[in-house]
Amino acid sequence: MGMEVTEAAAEKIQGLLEKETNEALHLRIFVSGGGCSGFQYGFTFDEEVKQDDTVVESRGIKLLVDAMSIDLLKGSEIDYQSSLQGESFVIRNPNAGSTCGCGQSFTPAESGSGCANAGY
Amino acid sequence: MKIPSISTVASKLLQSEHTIVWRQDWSILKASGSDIRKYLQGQITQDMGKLTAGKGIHSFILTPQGKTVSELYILEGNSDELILLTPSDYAVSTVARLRQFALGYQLRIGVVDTYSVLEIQGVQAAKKLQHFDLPAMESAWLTTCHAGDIHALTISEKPHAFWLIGNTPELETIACSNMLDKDDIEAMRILQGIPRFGTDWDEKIYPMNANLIEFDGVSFDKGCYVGQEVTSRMHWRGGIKKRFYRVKLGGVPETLPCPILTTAKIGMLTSAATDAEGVCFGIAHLPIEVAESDTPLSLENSTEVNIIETCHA
Repeated sequence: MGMEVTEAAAEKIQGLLEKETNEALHLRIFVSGGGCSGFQYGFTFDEEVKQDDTVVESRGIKLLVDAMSIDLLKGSEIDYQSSLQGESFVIRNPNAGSTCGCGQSFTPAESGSGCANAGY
Repeated sequence: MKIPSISTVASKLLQSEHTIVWRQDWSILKASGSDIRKYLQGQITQDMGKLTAGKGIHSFILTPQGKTVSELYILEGNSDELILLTPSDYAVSTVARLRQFALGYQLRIGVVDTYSVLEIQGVQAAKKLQHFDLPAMESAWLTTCHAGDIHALTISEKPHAFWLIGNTPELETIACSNMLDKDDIEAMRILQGIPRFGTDWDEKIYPMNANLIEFDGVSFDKGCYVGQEVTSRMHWRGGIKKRFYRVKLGGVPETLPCPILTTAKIGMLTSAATDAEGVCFGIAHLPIEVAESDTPLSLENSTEVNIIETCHA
């Protein structure tokens, strides 16, 4: 299952990339711990495609997703919305069991261990 | 049903010397990593910014829906480590939950089986700290200090009580006299009006309805953490309907927990204990509206229930 970018999001990402004047830049989407629901989305521009990255192409946009985030983002749709609260990217994530009010963080429907760190 | 009671011996020791008890009901976790504080800031109800070398914090871990996963006391350890104390029954689930959202962080979090918690309580309790070369401690709640691998935390101001956290064999060197049993320590908790997660309340109750504010377990200006949406809404939108109260009882309850009545059931007596004179006190979960009125309260067997105060740190 891949990821999709809506027309509005593709237009916005393309506009942001053009402002950067660096043709090597791609949008990186990642998940990290945080927010009201446990995991939060992050967006950044990156010119380096890392070895364990998954590169997703949709509507002419290349998205970079790291190996740890891809399982939590599979099947997601990235949209760009304007509302009274402002403009922002919105991720519709089928893996999210619940999402916080602002939409920036989520809890996976199947909450496994998100971290394989060593214990004591 | 037998309810816990504080023995005359224990009562005298508290007023003249000190008492010692192993707190096996608390487990010790250690957490470390370059961004452990940043990570925990997004996981717990209290502000990690309040944690300093001389002051610990009290906090809770919540589900995204705002219900309690576990209770924590956090203090600074050695070498950038943090020491987390959590009820033993919840230690494994606390570690699992803390690891669950650690994606993108380099952390170590785990139970330290070789460590124990030893409680020293009483008017002369501070003197026992000298055994480990610990400095004289302030009596303020959650004051901390350490000497080598032994860490001390002020857990009660009246009567003065410390938790010593460290390697079990090292702590055993002072655990040889004035030892209390579980019955005494449970009675002391109830007489002091300290509701216990897992006994007086559980994950079905929102912690805001379990004196989270009174036990300094939450910050409302720290920003996002898991469960923050519900917790903040309850605080700012008047959602706190119940609290725990320390109550004096006209007799001994027949069962626990047991309903508290006005003309109908309005709350629960969740714990009860008798003091050295045989007077029965308890911890009751009651609607604030009823507790703040002068409505007479009783148990089902007509035992009188009189509110003394809101349970607090």
